[in-house]
Amino acid sequence: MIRFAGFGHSHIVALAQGCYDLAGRGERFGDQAFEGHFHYLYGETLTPPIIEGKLNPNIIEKISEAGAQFIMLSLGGNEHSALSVVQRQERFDFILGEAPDLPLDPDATILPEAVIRETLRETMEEVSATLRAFRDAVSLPIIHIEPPPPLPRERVLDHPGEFFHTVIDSTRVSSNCLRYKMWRTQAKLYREICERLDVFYAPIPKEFFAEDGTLAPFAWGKDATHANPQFGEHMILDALSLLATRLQPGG
Amino acid sequence: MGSNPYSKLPDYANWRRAVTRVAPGELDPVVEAPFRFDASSRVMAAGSCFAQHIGRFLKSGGYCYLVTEPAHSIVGPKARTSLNYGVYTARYGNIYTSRQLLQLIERAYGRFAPHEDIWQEGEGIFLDPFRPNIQPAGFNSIREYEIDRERHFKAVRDAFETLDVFIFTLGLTETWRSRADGAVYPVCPGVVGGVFSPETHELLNLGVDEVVSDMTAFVRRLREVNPAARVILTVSPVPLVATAEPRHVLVSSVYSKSVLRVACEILTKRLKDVAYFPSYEIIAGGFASKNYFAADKRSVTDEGVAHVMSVFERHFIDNTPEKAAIRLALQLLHTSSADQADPEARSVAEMLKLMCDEEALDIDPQQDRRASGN
Repeated sequence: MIRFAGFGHSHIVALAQGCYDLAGRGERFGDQAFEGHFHYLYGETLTPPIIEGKLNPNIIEKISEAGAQFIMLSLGGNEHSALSVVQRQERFDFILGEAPDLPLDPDATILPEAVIRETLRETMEEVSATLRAFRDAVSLPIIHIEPPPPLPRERVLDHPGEFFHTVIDSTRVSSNCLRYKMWRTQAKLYREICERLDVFYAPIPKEFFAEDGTLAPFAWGKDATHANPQFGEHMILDALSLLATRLQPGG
Repeated sequence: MGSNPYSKLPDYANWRRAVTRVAPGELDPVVEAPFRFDASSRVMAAGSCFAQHIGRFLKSGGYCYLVTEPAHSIVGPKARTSLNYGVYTARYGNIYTSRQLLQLIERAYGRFAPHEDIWQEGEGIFLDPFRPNIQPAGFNSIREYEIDRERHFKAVRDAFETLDVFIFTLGLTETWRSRADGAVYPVCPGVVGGVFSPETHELLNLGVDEVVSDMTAFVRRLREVNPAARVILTVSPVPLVATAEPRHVLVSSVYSKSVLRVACEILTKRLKDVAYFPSYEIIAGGFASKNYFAADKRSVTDEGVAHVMSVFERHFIDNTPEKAAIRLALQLLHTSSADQADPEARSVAEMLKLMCDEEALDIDPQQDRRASGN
């Protein structure tokens, strides 16, 4: 039996539900059963995740209770959306160094990629610190699941939810291309942070991307920013595959 | 004994009364500033690293520190600093020499285009040789670099054309120059980026005449686009970090500062509305009865900066009660907005947080947050 503990913010939900669904169908990883215990980090006893510079002891207790062999994390992940889902008064765009031929908004101020990267880095400080606290607190393997790419503009407009009504003006919702570029920049930062902390990183497989880089429709969640349990299932199995060499069969 | 030129000297001209008897930290070597400005005057600052203190003081004091190349509203306060937004009026970085300043105005108005104007440091990393530290990891392509440089030059032009007061801190005389076209670099090629070659780069150690000539040409160019511009010159008290001359760094440092000080004296005598402010004398003179250098004997302590700026404020800033009230209002406005994220960005971030909370509530309560496959 492989046991693990999952922690995260909103994107952990699709992973948890995916894991439940796999369990419901009696799926195994190779010849082994697996069991995941998932915890939402905004939960009452787990927040703040860092207390006096160390991982919240309640989180450590959850890991211990689960008898976890590894930790699965899905921290943050919507920083790119917070910055770019709607355009500001001064529209912006940027050249993505990894894909410089992606189109640019002709009416936008073109910012250097460094501006986008350092801005995202600042918004990810809490996530980065939490990841470091996990790494410092446990010697178990840790894997971070790449946050899903943005959902397309039409989906944002169709499912604004009550929160969006106050701020969304359809003419100001950013292009799919800009939001994809923001997500790519964010994903690169996540990957770098994980590499630095010796944390495994599970990237989103190609089949989950639509042609324009947004999340493929079959993986859309119920709102404008999240993926669904099908995505969760796939990422759970991918994570297990990535960690296979590090996992010892347990009771 | 009859009267002589020294018999009725004012206090400021007498060492015993102006220096020896002055309480520690009270030294004030300014007699009368040739002009003053108020809180509504648009002030541009540039120069060597000490110039950053001037900008910081003006911003925090509620003065009208001109920023023509602001960060986009998505950029948070920490990122603004690492990307050098608002450190100076525009993102030109440190300008150490008179030649570099002249070069900036010439480039901004398209009168000079250096031959060596980009350094490629690896795949997807391009540095601006004239501001190599302006942002982490440079630019990702020549196209991005050129777009940003155009915007930067426009911001520089806007600054020169709209400023009321330009404060320039002269820092160095040693600089590295391209043998091809005379372009000067803020940092020697090969140190932060680029490749140093004695065939293409040479040391230039500016003399008094050269500094005077550069600054005269700069002021002329500035007044072509802004006839009313007033200029305050000061010499950075920060010693050279290293010298390329074959001599002790202290000797080089004193030489550089001496050249700059003499050049300032000549410039203030020759040019109208050009003033000198004695930062160097307060900090590096060693006569303030305080050691204003940090342990590295190079960095200036906060106390030293505060002393310099208090003398500056006393003599150069017009602080009538009405003007002080305006300044206070501007100061409050600055402190309430400077370090906060853009309100709209905060609104979207909070909204997403709410959405994320909603998502979390969607975990199936029937399943005890546990899933197992067996």
